[in-house]
Amino acid sequence: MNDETPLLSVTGASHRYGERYGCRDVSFDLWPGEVLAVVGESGSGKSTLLGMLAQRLALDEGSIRYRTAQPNGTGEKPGSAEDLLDLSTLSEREIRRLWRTDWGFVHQNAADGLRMHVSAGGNVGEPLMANGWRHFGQIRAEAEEWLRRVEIPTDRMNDAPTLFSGGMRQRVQVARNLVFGPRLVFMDEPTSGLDVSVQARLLDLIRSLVSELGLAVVIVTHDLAVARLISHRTLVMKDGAVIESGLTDRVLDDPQAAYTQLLVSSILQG
Amino acid sequence: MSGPRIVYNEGYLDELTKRVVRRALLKGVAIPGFQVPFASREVPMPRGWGTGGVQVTASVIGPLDTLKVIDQGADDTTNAVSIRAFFEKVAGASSTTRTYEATIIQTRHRIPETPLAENQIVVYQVPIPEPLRFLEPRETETRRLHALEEYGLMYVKLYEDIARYGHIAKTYDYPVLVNNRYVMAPSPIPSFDNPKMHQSSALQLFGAGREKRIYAIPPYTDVESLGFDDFPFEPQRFEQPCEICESIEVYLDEVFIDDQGGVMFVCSDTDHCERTLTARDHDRITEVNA
Repeated sequence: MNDETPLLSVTGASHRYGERYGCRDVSFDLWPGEVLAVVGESGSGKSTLLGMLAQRLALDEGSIRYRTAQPNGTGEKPGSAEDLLDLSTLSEREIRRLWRTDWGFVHQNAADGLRMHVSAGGNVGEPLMANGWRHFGQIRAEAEEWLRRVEIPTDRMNDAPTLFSGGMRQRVQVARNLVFGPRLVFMDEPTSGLDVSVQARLLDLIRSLVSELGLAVVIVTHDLAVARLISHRTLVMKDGAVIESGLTDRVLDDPQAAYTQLLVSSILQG
Repeated sequence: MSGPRIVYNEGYLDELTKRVVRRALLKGVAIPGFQVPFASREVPMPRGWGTGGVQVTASVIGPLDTLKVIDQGADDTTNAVSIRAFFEKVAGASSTTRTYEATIIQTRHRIPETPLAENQIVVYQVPIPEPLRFLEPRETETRRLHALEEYGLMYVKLYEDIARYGHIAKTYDYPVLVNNRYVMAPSPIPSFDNPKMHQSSALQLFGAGREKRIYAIPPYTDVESLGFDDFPFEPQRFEQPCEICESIEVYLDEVFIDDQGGVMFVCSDTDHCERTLTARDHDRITEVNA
């Protein structure tokens, strides 16, 4: 498989909440190493879309295909040929394998993504243990390395996230989601709820890690500045539908849809 | 006193209930370490006092059986004595304190020191059957983790111990992997006893009455205590011998003997202690006579 094939290919994806569509007819392709921002106001279906992509919400219409190796029934990677597979054809075991080995999910609220009473080292080490690491020294060294990369002091490694500030928790969450070497990371408003200076540092960190590791990222945000800072392409959502998409700079500098123009012009100009 | 005499069904539980429990037991034996849900009934003791164990025992016991009940190794505690008396009354079984005489051994928190034999059944009283409970409170999720064999979480607990104390500090209810498939809580027996479960000749049955779960380890099944490659499982060790019978390599209880804080360490297995003591005294008498 070469880089001509997208990592994730979404066609006509919809999710319904009862009679109402939370998100309707969304299509896009995501290539390896690409950062895609999904922006829009509250209630526009951004998080629904993300939940659907990560297989946390049911896909009611359309298809989501992901580039992965064909499962061979035992849940192990055969290791060779990768193919765009329709995620709805995979078993729960396969999907959970993807969660363990291929996908990260950074929640808006760190408490949703961390075990708050397990030490930071344990939190970062858990995905490794889930992937079969059974050597304490190696797990600890790897966790320590990742905590260092997200700028958590080593002497806080044995403290539980309950004792951490919001920014630190979020960085631990980022480390936990990158430690096992995922190819695709979903981020749901990772920086909201943090104060502006902490936001900037976290974004900077995410941006450098993403480019260093060549990750594909889908990041949901209501903050256009976040989209501008870290994403290559942007989807603008309103009322559950994508109303505009394109390169981030193009979308933000030359918005075509009326709503995007409104959104862009609503930013306070410094 | 001439009140109407209540006649209980053999083994106290009615036949249908015993079938329910036996079915769960058979399933448990067929899938070693898997927690089988069952309709736990009321028995004349409070939940948490061994109701699971009592129901399992009631379903396997008959008049030909000899029952031994131990509570933390001791045959003479209130709970052990009354459960023994209960089954003498309702099942017509005989009872014993001798491990080698018993066909069924109901236990709380210990496995006898005397090696178990093929015709014996050990019934464990289990308070919390789910080894992942304190890490993942959702029952739906823990069942899924068992089904998909995702046991990374169990190691988080061990990781935390090593990170905090420098070694695995869990000394009882130490998680085990049964038959290379299911992670199982061995009930709160000391980790000292864990190796006795591995390839045991006896059938091991676990009953959790409050939690409504039954599980089992058939004879000669692999039971591996979890650990890391560089921090493997290590059972507790005792340096000194029992101060009564001088046995070594047995599990010892710390017993206060006065108001000044004086303690002595003695066998927790009272039967083993007594028999060792008797045998030793006998030997000494023979020596003197010779």
